[in-house]
Amino acid sequence: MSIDDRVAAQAEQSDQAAQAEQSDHGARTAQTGPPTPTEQEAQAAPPVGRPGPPKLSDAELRALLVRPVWWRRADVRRSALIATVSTLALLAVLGFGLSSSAGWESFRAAFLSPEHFVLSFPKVWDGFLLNVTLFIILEPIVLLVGLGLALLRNLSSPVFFPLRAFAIGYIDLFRGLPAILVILMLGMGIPALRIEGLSSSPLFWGAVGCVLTSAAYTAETYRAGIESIHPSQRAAARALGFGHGRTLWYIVLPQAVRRVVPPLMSGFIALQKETALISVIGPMEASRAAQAYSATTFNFTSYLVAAVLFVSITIPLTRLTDHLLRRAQLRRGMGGAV
Amino acid sequence: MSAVAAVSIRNLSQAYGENLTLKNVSLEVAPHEVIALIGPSGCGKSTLLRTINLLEDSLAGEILVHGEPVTGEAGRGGRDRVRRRVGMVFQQFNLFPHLTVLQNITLAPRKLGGLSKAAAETKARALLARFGLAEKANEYPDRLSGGQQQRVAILRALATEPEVILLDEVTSALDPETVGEVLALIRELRDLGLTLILATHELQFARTIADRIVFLSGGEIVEQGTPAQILDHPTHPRTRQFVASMIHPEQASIAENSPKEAIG
Repeated sequence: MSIDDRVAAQAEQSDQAAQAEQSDHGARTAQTGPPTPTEQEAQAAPPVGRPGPPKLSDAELRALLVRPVWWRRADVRRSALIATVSTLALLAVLGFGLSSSAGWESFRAAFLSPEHFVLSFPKVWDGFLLNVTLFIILEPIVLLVGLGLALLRNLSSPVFFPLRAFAIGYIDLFRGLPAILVILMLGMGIPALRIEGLSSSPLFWGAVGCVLTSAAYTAETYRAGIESIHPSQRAAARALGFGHGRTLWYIVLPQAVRRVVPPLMSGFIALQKETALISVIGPMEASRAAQAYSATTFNFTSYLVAAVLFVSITIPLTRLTDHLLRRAQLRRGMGGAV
Repeated sequence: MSAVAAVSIRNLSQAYGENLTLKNVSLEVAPHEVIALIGPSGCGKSTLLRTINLLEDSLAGEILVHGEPVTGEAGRGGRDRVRRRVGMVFQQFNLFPHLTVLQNITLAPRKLGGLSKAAAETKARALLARFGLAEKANEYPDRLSGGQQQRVAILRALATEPEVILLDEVTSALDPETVGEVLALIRELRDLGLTLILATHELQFARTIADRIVFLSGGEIVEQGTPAQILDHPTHPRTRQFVASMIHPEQASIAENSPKEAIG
């Protein structure tokens, strides 16, 4: 007999014993009215003839531990089964509903054509490489500019008031503006100025627009982290003789940055999608390449290709972010108050 | 008693918002003296320590550390210089959780004391070894017990070679069984000849370690004297009531023992 069987059998036995005892007790009270003091004493003592769960050896306990929760617990197993069945049922209904709609055939030809998927893939892929290059180059810049803004915002000396005011104004402005407007204005406006030595490439100014917008959000993320550090940490640093700046640099910032890694990752994912906005001023990135393909072939499957490419990068990163968040929560829970 | 007091507090008043927390407190602390501040919660013990270390602004009065005024015109740079001469240990330890024990202790000597990394670490390891924490040098604070964390916090303050150490109810957040190891360390600090000012609820410990006990109530010094005077023969009724309620808490009545004192 395996351990599982033993445990299950014991649990069943004790359940039955408990039930039997209950009904037995019910019958007795019905017959004799309120229990006498001796009966109450008998209840307080462990019930006779009801075997408890078996004592397990260390090896047996360890054998139980290695099994995943869903295997150990019947109710978890049952929930997993129900979830699977209901998901399949919903998909079946949706699939049937869509495929029996009037326009299904023409929709499938225009958006889900396998031939066009294969044909458009190389062009959209080339465009997507531009998106990837952009967000890999831009993310470090965004992280640095955002940190700089957050630090400016934290300056305490009155001498630096203008810098602090600038940081606050900048963050307010670029968090309030739609990114697409920033990109349009920079991409159209600055090349039109024709200033010597300034790039007139729409790609460059589109990238600048992405950085300006994302950095404002990133600065706020850093600030939230800085403000989440308990004042007692600052007090301890000040008591050791560290001034405002060094306290921020050696004590507050290292803890704050660790704490905001997951939200910074979310910002990174947002930036990846934002790079698609650059297409409005011309550069041939994935969504623009998809658009160009559909304009010549009157088939929209190329959009699906672009969507699949974006999702293939953003979804794994989203999962990783969730994982980091969970781990951070777990750590904080165990670490207790600091 | 040498000519210059280690800490000299003259008519110090302090307020949080509209609440006066200290009223005209005057206290002269001689070098190498150990002062225990006792009194009910909210009486101003912690505020007095935090104000000496300039973590709180004072409302009026002055504080001198070794004859040098540290309040008022001392300015920002002056404040940080003073803090380096005065160490402080907190009730909640306040260790830096992102740094190891060794890094916690060496940070200030390296960045402010001008010691090289190697020199600061040698010194810190010697301190840790001397106080039985050598094997914890590379642990992070959340891996230590409360008592160990508080001992590290005391060593962190000690590593900056202060002349005065302020201890703010350093055993109040500890499990009873680890209180002893922290008290033993404080005794060693006294034997090293440091000037100590400690706020405490441990009257028996105050009796054995302090040269002088100061009883505060409602932001004022009500009575001060040797441990025997204050704990065995208090003269002021408020001191008498407080000492009695600390020694026999089970006999205190609810009415006369309000937890927070208001200042009249």
